[in-house]
Amino acid sequence: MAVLAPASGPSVLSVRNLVTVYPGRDGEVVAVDDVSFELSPGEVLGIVGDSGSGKTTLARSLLGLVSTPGRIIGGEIELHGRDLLKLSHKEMRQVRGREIGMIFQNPIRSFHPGFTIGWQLIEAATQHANISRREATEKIVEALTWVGMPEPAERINDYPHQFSGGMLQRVMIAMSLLNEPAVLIADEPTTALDVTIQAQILELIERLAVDRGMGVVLVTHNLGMVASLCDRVIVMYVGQIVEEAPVETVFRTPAHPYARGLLDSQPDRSTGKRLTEVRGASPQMTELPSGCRFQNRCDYVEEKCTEPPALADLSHGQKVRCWISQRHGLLPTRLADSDHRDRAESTGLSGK
Amino acid sequence: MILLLGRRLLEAVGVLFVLSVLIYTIGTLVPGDIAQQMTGIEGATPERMAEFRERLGLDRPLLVRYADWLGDAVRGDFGVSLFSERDIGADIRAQFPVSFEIAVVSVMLAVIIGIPLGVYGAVHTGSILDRLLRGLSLIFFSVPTFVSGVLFVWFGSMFLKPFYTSYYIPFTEDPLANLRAISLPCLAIALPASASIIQMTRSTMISSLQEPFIDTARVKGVRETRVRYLHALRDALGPVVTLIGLMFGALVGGLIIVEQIFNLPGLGRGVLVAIGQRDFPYVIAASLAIATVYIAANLVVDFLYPILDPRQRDQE
Amino acid sequence: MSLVELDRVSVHFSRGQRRTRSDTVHALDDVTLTINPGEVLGIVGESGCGKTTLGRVIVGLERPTSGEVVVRGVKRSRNQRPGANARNDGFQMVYQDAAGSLNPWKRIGWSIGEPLQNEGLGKAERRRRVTELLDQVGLPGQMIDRYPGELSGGQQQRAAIARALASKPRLIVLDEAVSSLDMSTQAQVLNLLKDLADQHPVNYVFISHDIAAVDFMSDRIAVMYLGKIVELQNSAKDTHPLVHPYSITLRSAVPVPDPAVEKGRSRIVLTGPVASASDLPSGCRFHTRCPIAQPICSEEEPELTEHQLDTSVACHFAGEFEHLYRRSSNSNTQP
Repeated sequence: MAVLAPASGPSVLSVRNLVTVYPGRDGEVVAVDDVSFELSPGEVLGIVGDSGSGKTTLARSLLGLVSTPGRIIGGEIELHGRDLLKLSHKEMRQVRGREIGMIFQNPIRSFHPGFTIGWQLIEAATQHANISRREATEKIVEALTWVGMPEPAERINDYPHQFSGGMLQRVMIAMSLLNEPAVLIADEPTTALDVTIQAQILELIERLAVDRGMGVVLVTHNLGMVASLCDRVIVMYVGQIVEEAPVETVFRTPAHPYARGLLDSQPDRSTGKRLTEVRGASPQMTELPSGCRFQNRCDYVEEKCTEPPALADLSHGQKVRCWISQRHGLLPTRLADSDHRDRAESTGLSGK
Repeated sequence: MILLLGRRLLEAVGVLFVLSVLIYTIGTLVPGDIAQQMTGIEGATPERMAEFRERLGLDRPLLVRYADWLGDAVRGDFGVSLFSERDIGADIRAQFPVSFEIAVVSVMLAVIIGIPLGVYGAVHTGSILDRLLRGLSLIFFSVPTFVSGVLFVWFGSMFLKPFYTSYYIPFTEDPLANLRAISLPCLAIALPASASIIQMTRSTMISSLQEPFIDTARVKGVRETRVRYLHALRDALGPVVTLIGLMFGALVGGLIIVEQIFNLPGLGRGVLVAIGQRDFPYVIAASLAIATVYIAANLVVDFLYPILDPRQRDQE
Repeated sequence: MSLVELDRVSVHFSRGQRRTRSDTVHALDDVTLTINPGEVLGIVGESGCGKTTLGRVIVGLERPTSGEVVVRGVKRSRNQRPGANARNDGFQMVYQDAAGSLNPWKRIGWSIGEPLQNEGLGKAERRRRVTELLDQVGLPGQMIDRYPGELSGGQQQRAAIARALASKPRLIVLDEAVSSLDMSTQAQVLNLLKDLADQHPVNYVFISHDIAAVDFMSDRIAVMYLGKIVELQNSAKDTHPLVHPYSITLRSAVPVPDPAVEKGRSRIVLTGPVASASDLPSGCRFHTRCPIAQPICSEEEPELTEHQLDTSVACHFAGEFEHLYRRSSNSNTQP
């Protein structure tokens, strides 16, 4: 496969032909199958997909967190021109936290219950910088202030169970930015949180990208989050990228039938009609059909679909893994026709 | 939290009191008439037996006898042995340290052996050593002490002469000789005990290593050894500490066989002898001492728990 | 006659050993609500708002601490075991965790057919009914002999729905029934639920944190906050925008799957401390986070009153959100 051109500007992170496998009962399961993408500074890249699409494995692969017996068997993960897959354990440790940060789905369980928040933050702050405890404390208080924690200097002596989930996710973000990494990987960062809290976290992540120029990889199954936060989207289906495009393009003119199906199946309160649905279910990793993996659920399936399609460039940075749209072009979604202005108003507040 | 611990302490005293009533009642109701047995030597006529009962106060109601006994007991006076007429309190005070020392050293040994091997098993699940350990644990666990103890005596007396003595010397008199005397019995106890510590550590450690906060630590760039031995082990320790506490409590009273085999003058052997002689004042006092240790061990675990897991501190 | 009426129903739990005030959890406080035959009532709210407790009270699995539940004109007895109420009234519940409501050691057919056991059907007849139910929920017939573990999440939820339908219930409470499903499966199950409601004389109470799904499913919507209904919309369709500041914030907080809308709007982000059901604030329960809170809000608890046709709101300043919010956000931005 050809080396992909960066979407805009020099990329901070380039992933090329990444393959991650897990041994299964019936041979190896390819959880991440030949995935390539670029991430620019200040860009939020969304990775969406159903459970089992490999999106979380992909995110974890980027930091070498694939848990045994899984392993990365091919590809390159290039950060600032350095291939992370060629690094020693020690060098990889230097990358973690200092150059790539990560936040997880369940903030409450992502903190050690036995140590204070301050202890855990200081451990992160002193991991890569030779600074005194006092300097580290100043640094973490500053970071906690930035994420909007009230009275940080007092609260660092509290234990995780004394915080709410939303506040812990803020602490998590504060922790991830202590060493000013260039890339932040956020794996379903708001899934475990209430929607009003989710809004606060979304705002923080947005500020990370906009104010601090961090490149953010946002793994999510929430299309609303993608729409509000991401610049570019990768849609994954059973281990493969099936579509990649700027966010506007994906929502207006998705090229892959799966992406189109997902978008059309979103409940829309203005109609209240039957939802458009993607029929069937994802195939098991162990029982993949030959050819296109979506063929058994696809409304447009053709003879050609029994051959595996490649991820091909369409135009305007849109890539798709589908024979049909590569040949016949795109079908617009429901969104593209509807008048969004009145939708914006009906949400309570229109744009300023 | 202090309130909670204070309440635990009061509860422990309460439990001890109830236990003393139970032990005393059971101890006196045990079949076998002490009067008959004692007088039997000199010819048991009913008059002699009655006289004997009166001398020991056995003709008074149970409740009165208990109150009397309790009054003395809290002052450390457990009366005299029916058999040897020696001061029971003094006897127990002499025997208790022996058992206590063996229990402490055994548990320490079990912990030193068990926790690192348990951690190793968790980190290298499925490795050859892990599988070997699990097999060995099963063997250590299932071989009864009276078999392993005898084997240890035999093995020690044949091949490990420097570690084998047939008599006990207190630590205060000759520390080295003392260690020689207790090393084999302690090993005999520690091996099966360490087997259960290995298993417990291994399983709690495996689940701790899968916790999301382990990922967090790795993502911070923390060294893998620190991730394992600080983050994961700290989290896994709670249930292990409970196990150790219970183990220790159970051990002090459970040394009967080992003390017998290795000829150690501890509480266990004392109880064994006393039961044979129906020397119930001694059995009651010794049982109470053993129960106290058990309760104290539990209390220590209760105190340790909030230190290990801060979530416990805020309960109530 | 209404199907279910709740009259000032409260559910309080006490936790811990000391029964002090702060140990009482006000899971539900003074809820008055009517469910009419043939309608879908949507209940939306965040974790800890009491929506699940309300669902359990309606179905009859939870006994109110105070207040009355009237089912088809008959007061529910307070002496019944909670489970017996649900059975007598013909009410069912479907949970988020479908796998948890199916016995993992029994075949799907057994789990679905279990509620039929008391009906005195023969074995063959029962199997026929189960096959019918499988067909209705869109599962292939051979699933009857599968174990729950062999089914996907969406299929398990379909089986759980089939099980709930087996006893021909008058009402099914769906508690986050689609929340744990994949994106591509959620729409399938939502459609299925709508179709089933068209074919069967069944009422739904649709409980979810997902306001879009609630909008889609429901004829009426109750918005809950810390054990109270703060807004009751008798017509869920677009004609009536939500009025309570919390409802507005809730809808505003959910990102819309449309970048054009998202980039052009400002989201209302709440800042105040989140109160808990065991430590309720004085006055209006939302005032600690409300963007338009005034002094009276911390003193007096507003009652749920009719604000306009088909809309009841518990807020001192119902209808003034737009106006007050702009004023308060403007004053915040000034130095």
